[in-house]
Amino acid sequence: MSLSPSTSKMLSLKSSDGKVLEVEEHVAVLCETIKSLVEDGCADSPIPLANVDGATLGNVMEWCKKHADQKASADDLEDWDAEFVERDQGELYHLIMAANYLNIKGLLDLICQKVADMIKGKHPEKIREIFNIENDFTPEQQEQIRKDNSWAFE
Amino acid sequence: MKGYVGDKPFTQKVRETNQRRSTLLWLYSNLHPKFLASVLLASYASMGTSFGTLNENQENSVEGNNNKTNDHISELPEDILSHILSFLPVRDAAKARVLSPRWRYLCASTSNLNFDLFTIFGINDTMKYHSYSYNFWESKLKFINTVDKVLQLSGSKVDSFRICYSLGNGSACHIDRWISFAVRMQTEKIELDFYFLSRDKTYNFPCHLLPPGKISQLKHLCLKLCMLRLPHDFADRFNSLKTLDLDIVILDQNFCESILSACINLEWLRLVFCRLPVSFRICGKCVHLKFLVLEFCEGAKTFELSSLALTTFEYIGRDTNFTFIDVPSLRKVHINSGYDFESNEFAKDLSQLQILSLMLYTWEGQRTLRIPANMTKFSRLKQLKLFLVLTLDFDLLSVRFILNASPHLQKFHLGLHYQRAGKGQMKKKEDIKHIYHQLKEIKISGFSDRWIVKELVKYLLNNAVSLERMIVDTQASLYEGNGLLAAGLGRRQQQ
Repeated sequence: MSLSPSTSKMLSLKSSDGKVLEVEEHVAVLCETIKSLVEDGCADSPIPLANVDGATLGNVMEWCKKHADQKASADDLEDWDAEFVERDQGELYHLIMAANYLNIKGLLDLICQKVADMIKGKHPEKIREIFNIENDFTPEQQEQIRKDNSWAFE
Repeated sequence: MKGYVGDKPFTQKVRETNQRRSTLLWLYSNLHPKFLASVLLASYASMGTSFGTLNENQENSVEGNNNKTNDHISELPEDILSHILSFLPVRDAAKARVLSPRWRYLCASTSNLNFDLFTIFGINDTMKYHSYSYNFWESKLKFINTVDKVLQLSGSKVDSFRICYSLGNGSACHIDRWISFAVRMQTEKIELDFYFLSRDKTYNFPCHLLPPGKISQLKHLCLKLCMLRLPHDFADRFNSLKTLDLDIVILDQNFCESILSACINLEWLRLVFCRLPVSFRICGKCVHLKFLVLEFCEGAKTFELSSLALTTFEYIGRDTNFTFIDVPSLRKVHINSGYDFESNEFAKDLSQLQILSLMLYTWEGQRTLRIPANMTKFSRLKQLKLFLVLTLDFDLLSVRFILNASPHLQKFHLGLHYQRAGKGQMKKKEDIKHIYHQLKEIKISGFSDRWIVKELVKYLLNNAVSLERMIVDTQASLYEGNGLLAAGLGRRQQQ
């Protein structure tokens, strides 16, 4: 299957909130989900993406476009990605869900790495604060689990 | 994000986190296109409901738990949370379990398990840790228990497994158990980095625990302070290995025959502080061997290299009696040892050599280095790195004879390190002419204002007519091995 930019046609993608996005095929096929549809010859009508809203789809395609660009160097992409993930948690959440649903390993890894970096080296109390995680352990449970993982807190 | 370029990445791995989606997609791909659109719409909508997280569905659920709407991270499906954990060191992943019940039993989907003083005890300084005020036996027990605990909670795949601690054969039953675990988890890289054995014996690597033949996933094996003996019946268990790093490893006498003939796919072999057989031979059996690094290995008097794929050879040591038999691909050689320019054996044996790096002492025992005016030509040499530890009486200008013998040289890096006072000064020479047409870059590190150094610079500037760049640095740079030269050729990326 060869999809070079020169022969690329346009695909239309329809988001959950009814927005239609026209995207070059060689960009859209970075999503394995869409690639499979294209390969099976089922990508003629607007492709319905019931789990991705319009704003997120726009962000995802922006990432795909950058990464489909053959001219971008690895360093270039790394810098660009670092800026791309500077978003609020809501947006990151929707991006992760979309990357998972559309099966874009590169994007999924990027955002998961970003979230992991937000957790890394921090005390649980701090992590709860950052992500608004409610600690609904009972005090007994809390004590037990703390004990089970005590080595990590020393 | 590394390795994500162009259209390559997606085909590489089937991620478990996407199994649910893949299954659906597989269903679709087996349907007739005509039915697909309607099926897609219907089932995507139902997926939306079952995920219950996005858009309309989310809006519906918001009213019910208003206080939780901001906790996006805990709303993620379990497989994605596991994927996030696989980007965290084991210590942070363990901490995350206490966040809330949602996180309690999560484990990383794939992981790189790295156990050392930092990940287990949060300690950075090895020497400090081992030097005072601690009970070694108690710490060791705790280390072992913690490793066991983490392994119990590990997910279904472990990419790499590293243990760096003071362990020996006394803990063999534990280490064997970990190796079995790694093998079960289809680990591609195992690294045992042991140190400080006081009364314990070195750990004997359990070859018998690796699966036979083609089933083995193990591609990279690094052992430090271990023993490696390969019984003949287990030879096929090393077939899958691509890189083998052995540091202070006790090898059996038939090492070359047994290990090297077993590792039929080996591309990288590095031996450091290992005792080699008297005649060290790399023969035609390792058809993929590209990198050979030998550092501070004792015992070998002669080296016989014959490998079609070998591109890089690096040697730090004393005895240098090399025989290159059939090495048509060898491009890069680093030797940190004496070298005899009079016979200039490399130029004779390695007519295809492109990059040569030599670290030389201008005196060795009673012998002083002499670079003869006429030597066999390096007919293809493009880069020469010459690191000299020298005395004042060494005729530095004589390095020009090496340049004269390298008509295609483009880059010349000279590292100088004056270490001993010499016997006397040399006489100034008349201006010498020898034009270098190809030489484009010269770097001199360890530059000083000794007249002989200045003379050499003047000579080079006068004669390198195509020179584009000359870098002069007063800092001395001496190449010190560690596979760095070979690394430049694209060593594996894990580190």
